[in-house]
Amino acid sequence: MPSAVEAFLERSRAAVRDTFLQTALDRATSRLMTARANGFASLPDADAMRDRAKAIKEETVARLDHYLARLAESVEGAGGHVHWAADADETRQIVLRLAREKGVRSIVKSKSMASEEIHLNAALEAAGFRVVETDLGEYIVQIAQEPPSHIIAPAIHKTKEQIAELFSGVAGRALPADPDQLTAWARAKLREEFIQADMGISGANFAVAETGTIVLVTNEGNGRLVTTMPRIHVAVMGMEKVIPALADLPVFLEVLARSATGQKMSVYTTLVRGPRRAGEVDGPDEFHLVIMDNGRRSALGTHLEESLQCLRCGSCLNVCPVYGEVGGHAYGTVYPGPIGIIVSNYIGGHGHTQNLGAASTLCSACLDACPVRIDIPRMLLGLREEAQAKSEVPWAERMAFRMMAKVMASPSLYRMAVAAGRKLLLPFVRNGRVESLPGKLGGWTRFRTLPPIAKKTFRERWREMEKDPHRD
Amino acid sequence: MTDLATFLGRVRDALGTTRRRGDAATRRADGYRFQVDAMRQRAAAQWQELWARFAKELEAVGGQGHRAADADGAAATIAALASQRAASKLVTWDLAALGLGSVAESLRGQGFEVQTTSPPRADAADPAARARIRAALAEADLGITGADYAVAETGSLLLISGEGRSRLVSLLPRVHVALIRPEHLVPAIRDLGAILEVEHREGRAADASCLNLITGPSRSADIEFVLARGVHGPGEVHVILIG
Repeated sequence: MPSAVEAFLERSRAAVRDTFLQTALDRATSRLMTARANGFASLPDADAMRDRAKAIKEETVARLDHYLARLAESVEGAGGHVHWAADADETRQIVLRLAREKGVRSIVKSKSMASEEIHLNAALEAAGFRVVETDLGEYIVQIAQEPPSHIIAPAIHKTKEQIAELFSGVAGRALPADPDQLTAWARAKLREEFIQADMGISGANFAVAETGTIVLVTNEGNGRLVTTMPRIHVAVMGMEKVIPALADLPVFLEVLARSATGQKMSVYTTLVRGPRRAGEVDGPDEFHLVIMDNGRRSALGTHLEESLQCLRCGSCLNVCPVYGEVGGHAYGTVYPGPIGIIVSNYIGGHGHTQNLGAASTLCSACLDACPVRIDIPRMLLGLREEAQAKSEVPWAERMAFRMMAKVMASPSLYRMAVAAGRKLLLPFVRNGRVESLPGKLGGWTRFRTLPPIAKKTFRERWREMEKDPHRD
Repeated sequence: MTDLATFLGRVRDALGTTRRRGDAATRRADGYRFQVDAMRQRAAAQWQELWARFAKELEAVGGQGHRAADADGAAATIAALASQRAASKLVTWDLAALGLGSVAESLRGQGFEVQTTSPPRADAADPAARARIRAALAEADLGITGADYAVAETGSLLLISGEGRSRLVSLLPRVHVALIRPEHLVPAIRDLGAILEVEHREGRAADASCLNLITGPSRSADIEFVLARGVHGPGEVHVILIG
């Protein structure tokens, strides 16, 4: 079996050659980046908001046990049921058991990374349940039998022609490749699914400990339908989604949509709390909240803990020069991009089998874009150190870096190395550039040329200038 | 010198044991109510500016603001909207409970089929009655609701569910019309923190299954980043300010 790194490189090569994917990625990431900039332009105290959001998340994660206990108490107080799931299997079993016990046949889902993470659909389908994703993008990738390629825009890698073909297959007639008409068809088709569904499964953007309120932030309205139409609503949340109080919510709303899509507010911010109340004519008979660990616990107290503050807005994907070239599928994990590299190390309890810390440039664009200022570059460096320590890096490379460290630490060795390097590079200089290097070093010159080492170093020139200040 | 235990023990003794001790949560609730009251007073003094901002922001996200002098004016606006869209089936919240019962009456008088989604309490508990209401909701062309708050900064409406306040009236029909009054206008999203706290503790949200903050019509850009409206929810959102 190839290592995670080899598999990543293999998929990346294919992605870079895929011309439509390249166009789609350019379009998506550049539009989302521009939108984000415009969105934040309307929030003059954005920095203060981001600091506040981070402080709340930090405080919550530091007392996670307390807030989770409080959340459970509040949900039950509002007439809901709480289930604790240690891992992916327990989560699937809880949902499967509920579906069986309640005589469920058909299930509608709104977009949820938590359920993607545990491959819930596959488990439900294998058990004979009909499962329909209702977010338009998720519906498209479900029909295509592919995983989503972006946290907030799951089907950006598909053309409208491909989507028309997929929908035509379900409709049993040819649909035109027109986004409006395709959307209208999906609305009508999915409306039928909502009407007959017995169970709705959602994720949670936030869960309010003090009140037991589950908050869903969506644009299409399917999140509202999933939580209102079926007789049973099951929300599956990663345990880090809890926030202390309703008063904390607006801070997150101010930064979330702006970071994700550049909107000031997403169209629907839905706060659900327990089942339908006496006198209400709609809403589910039963509400269940599944609080899932699935490896998150192992990040607590480690250098990766800060990543539990993530809001899953996707803005670090849009600004990442690596994601922008290779797209979401190259990572081979449910969560792609810079934050994906980090959380994939503990989510699912894989225990560092997915160390793609090197699949980044450490340019820090992700840190600048993050609404809660998660120091992703720091954690990526940490992952690289771990890979180094666990000998995941080839022997020759480790030796090379060890030698480099020695050389860089000693001024005299450094001077000697520069002098030697200048001579050694000479045979490879063509037209004043180093055009190709031999052997393993060839990777550096495969797609670019390098400048040769200057005839004189800065120190040498400095010394000459001190002797003769008027010399050029 | 006195140690901590002795010092505090004396204070405790002096306070006595019969006195009722308020806790921090109660004081926090008072603080939120104080904030909301102050905010509403400021908002009331400048509601015209807030409405202008609200309408502008709503239009920026694809919705539309209208003004009406009174309930009759609101009914006329709705009738015009419905006629232009060949919408004949209307569903509503319990408008009488909002003091706008005459809007429904007027629309019925003009030949529209108007179904309220507020059966007597006993019927709400009856699955068959709820199924009938849902069937009407699924067929309706236009849904009419009130709103609990309207946020000027973003053109957002806050709707709290409850008796006579179906969650689906603002969701299933293609057109959503919300009726508001000047006192519903609040300045900014950040005001919602205190508002949600107060509503949850002592307001309508205390026993509601759902609150929705709605900012314009349903939308998606999942197909090649082309904006599509009315994906699952309404493709049109109209807000009529009465007053």
